[in-house]
Amino acid sequence: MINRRSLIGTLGGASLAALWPLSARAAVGRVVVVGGGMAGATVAKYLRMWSGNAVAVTLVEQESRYTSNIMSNLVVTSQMPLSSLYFGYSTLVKKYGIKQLTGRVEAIEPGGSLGTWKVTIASGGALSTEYCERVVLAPGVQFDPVPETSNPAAPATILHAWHAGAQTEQLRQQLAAMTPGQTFVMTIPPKPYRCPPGPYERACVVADYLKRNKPGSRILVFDANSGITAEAENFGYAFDTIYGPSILEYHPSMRVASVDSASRSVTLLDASNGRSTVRADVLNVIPPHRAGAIVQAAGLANATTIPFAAVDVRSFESTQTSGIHVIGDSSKTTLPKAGHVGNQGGKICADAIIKAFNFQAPDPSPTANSACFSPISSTKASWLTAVYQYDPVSSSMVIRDQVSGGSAATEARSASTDNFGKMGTWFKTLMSDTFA
Amino acid sequence: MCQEEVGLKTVQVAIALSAALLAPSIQAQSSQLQHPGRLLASGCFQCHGTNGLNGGFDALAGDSRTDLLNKLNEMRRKPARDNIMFPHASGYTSEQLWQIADYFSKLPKP
Repeated sequence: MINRRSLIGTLGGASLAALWPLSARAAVGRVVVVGGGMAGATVAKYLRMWSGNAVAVTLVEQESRYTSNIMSNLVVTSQMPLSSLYFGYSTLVKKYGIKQLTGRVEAIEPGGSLGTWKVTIASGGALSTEYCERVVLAPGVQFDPVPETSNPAAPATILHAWHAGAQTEQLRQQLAAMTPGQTFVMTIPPKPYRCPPGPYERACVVADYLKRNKPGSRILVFDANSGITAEAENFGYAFDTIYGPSILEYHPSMRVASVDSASRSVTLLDASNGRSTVRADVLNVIPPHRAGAIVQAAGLANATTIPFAAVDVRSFESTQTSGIHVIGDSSKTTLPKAGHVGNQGGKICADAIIKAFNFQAPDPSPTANSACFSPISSTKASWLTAVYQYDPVSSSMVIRDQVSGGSAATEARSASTDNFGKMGTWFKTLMSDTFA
Repeated sequence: MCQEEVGLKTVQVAIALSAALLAPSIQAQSSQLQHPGRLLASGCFQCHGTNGLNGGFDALAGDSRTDLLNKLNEMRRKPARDNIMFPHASGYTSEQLWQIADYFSKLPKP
């Protein structure tokens, strides 16, 4: 058993210096990253790259590879194979020297003399322990249960396809098996949810698929929000004119009350709590979101009142527990929950942790940009973008156009095939910046 | 106390990970490590590639600072909705754009 005294006793100053490479002497620390999605993979890579490998990084992820949510709507419509969404961790391990564990974090507790934190990981049927100075939680989101209509105490079986993987393939199969004249029903949760344009994008590409492949079929969209929450102009135009009510019906301010799993029907509440039930041939319910389970378990977010973790957005350090950072979709910030932004949050967090290991404060005025392309059909795409600046008055990230003074995100003037091509380039480069 | 704690922890890291730490530093652009534009410029990497290399869009590494700034300033004058780069150029202050351009100009050209 190694303790402080035995360490001091066995290693003198001179031997220590000999053991360390020059690059590692300036700043050394250990970080455990929990979650290997867009934010988690990025923070792991940039902690290594920007510290000249002086920071030791362990990345813990339950899955053996990442399945991208970005572009997954085109898998639903059979335009891309599911395998095109797979990204492994081998480059992060080989090129950057990240230690990767496929497993589950069981506990995060004070590490005593061996480190600030002791992280217990269940991996391959065994428990292991990692000590570190900083923990970064990037578990993504989990979905609130939706009541079963006949037994509200029980959760309904939901096909959300909002966490890419098996459900994406299930929804693809159900869409492909529709017979002409059948109805696809999807519901959109209240803000904040992952990928603000995503549900409208799905509605559009499904409508496009039905138009081309299933004559007489329709998609009905029920949105808990009072209107389209992102790219309102391009999606509104697509809903009203490219597809129109004979193919796509959009109903704002409609919340899901319950779902009847067996009959594929959903009961909805309107703004004045009026109740209606809609039967679907394909039912795609995207439930409300909350922070990943590990964030809840660590006491950094309260599922009923504050479903996401409050952080100082200059470092993404929890405002509740110092030494623990929460990045990506589990954090509560003014930034959208999206992969491109999750990547940038990972970089802000990595920079701040490296500075902390060098006894420096985080960058006082970080920026983050949000950018995404959204398919409107199988050949045309739109885009949405914003640059966020740290605002010390509100302690939050705000959009502030330096030329126009505008404070809103900007969307493309119109959807185009040129943007559809650029979308592929954006996806490829973003994934490479994250996983390679 | 704080310094002593970190010192002790680094001893343990050195023991556990000495092999990994002794590996040559990857892309150790040492002059860039402390550049004030590094975090700012990293916001360009998602589309222009890590360190402005091998991006599907324009590679920016090693471009002249003046050329980059001229291009960005021209974009600031264009209608924002015409091109995704236009709102990017107008979203940063002039000083931030200078830092970004300076950062990329000091990276080796691919």
